[in-house]
Amino acid sequence: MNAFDAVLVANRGEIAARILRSVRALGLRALLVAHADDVAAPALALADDVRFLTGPTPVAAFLDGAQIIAAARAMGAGAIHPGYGFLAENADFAAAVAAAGLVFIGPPPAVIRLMGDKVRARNFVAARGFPVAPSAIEDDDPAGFADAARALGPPLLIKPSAGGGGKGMRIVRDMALLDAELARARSEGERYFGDGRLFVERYVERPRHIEVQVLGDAHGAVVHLFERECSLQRRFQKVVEEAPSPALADAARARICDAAVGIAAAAGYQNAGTVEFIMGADGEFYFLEMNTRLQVEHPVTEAITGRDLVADQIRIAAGAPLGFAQGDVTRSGHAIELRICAEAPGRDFAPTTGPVLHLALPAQARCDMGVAAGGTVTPAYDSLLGKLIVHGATRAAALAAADAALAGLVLLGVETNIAWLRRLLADPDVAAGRLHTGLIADRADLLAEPEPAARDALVALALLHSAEARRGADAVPALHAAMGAWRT
Amino acid sequence: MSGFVLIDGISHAAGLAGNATLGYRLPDGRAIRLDGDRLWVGDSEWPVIVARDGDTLWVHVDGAAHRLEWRDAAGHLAEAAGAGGGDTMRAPMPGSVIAVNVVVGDPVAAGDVVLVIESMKLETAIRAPRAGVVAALPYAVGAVFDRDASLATLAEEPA
Repeated sequence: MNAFDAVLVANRGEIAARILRSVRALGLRALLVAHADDVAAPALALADDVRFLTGPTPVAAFLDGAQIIAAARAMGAGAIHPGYGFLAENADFAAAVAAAGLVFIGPPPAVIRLMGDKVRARNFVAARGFPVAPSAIEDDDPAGFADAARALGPPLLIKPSAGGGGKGMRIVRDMALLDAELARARSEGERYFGDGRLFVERYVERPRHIEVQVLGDAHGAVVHLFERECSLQRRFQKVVEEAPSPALADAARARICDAAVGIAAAAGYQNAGTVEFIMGADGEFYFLEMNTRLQVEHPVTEAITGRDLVADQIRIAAGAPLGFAQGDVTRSGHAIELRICAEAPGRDFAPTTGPVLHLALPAQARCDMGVAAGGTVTPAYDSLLGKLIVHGATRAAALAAADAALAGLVLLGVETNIAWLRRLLADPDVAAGRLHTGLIADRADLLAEPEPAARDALVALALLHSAEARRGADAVPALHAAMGAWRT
Repeated sequence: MSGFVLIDGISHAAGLAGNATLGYRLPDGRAIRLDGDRLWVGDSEWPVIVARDGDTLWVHVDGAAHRLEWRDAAGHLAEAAGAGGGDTMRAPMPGSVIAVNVVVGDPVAAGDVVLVIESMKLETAIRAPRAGVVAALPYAVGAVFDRDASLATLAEEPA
């Protein structure tokens, strides 16, 4: 056993708060590194001790592994939980944590390295007889690469070898654009991942994204916790996730979950991980990649299985056996997660910023929030503000609960995607579970905000406010200037 | 009192009759009244949550948040006249500058990338709206700006 009694969370936002809750529930000391920009974030109130990171930018501070490890030692941490993003899938960081005598809450560095190289991972999976996307070719011969890609024929999907999160991915339907798209993907790969190598595979039209949650312990046991469907994406970024997938009958579910367990077991996987697949309209599925970390969307799995995945991660990292077998994992009902983002759907999802003036959470949903009233959303990080997770007996019940939760979530001061999410859930194809990863792009008509039913109420409110501001300002002349446009 | 209410950036003409003592009315005669977190428009009652940020009112009503701004008639006209001039490249979102492709005095063609900005890991090219000569570049690489900041200005088009 690698016993430890204090866990440092090397992350921010909603996931830092979520991990700290489980650390506390296990009776361990909850430690946090944070950036000074984030002093109002909910995670800080959940930590027993906080150290502030510095860096040229806030993101750079969270990527500074040496600084984080030094903080962990200074605070007396025995283990580091990386969350997702930042250093979560950085094998060198995982190795450095171990070298410092600390426990990395995640898989061994060699597995992170294997799955972090998309081409190596694909070859590894194919060599063991699991399905991979048809006809992929890799860029080990840049001169012949474009010709080989051309020979494969459209539609093609170009991906960076070192990629993830949809960055640098391009669909090519017109082969005349192939060279230009390859050049662009190569430059994006270099910029985002420091690695311009690419691979190209046949693009599956209108695919579903289905992924399987796995858990492996240090004693060779690997189980799955069923699948999640994450087909509602924009620019390859997930927006709404659910479990179980509405597309799978029990036999198909067993096949895809067994494949995920087989892949994880072959890789010697330990801790929590996710095997991602794409599934065509014909029901055939192919390995996409394996994420060697906790996923943003893990709560839907927790909702249907009743497990605490972060607690499982911590126990596994401490060397404990899983303590349950595949047959002990059961599921009930249907869960949906909604990503609440600071962005304007009507302006092509441009990021938004501002002060969080008011935040009220719906009572009937799990709310994993990364912001609190009094905080500020800055352009320093990605746009995820938090997540709502609902659970119902059926998918229809979960959809109704999701709409009610979105209507009850009050967030003032920053434009968000909340109203658009409600329109998306009401779409007939979404309601019927007819999903594919291009659905959101196809439904551009949902982006624009329709005229609010409460239009007259809003106009009335603005008029009353302006009138009151003027009256108040007239009565107290010193306030006049402070009233701004409302004193008119 | 009359003017315009911008609801989520969309302009709606608005007029108010009556006064604080006798009560306020919309031009169509419906009485309007705000009592704490309850708003009445005629016979309709709307629960509202309101927060103010400078000249912007944020309102949650009917299950959705909205941004309200007030413009008197003169301010609204001046704004409309200023739009579409094509001399100023404004920031579509807050962020920082990651590349500046020109210097002041450079000629640019319509559609040329003048600078590249980044916000929340999203890169956006800022392009010249017309041909012209770069007159101002207030932000250097690494500088941060707010939404609607003037990122670059073109000089008057030669006659």
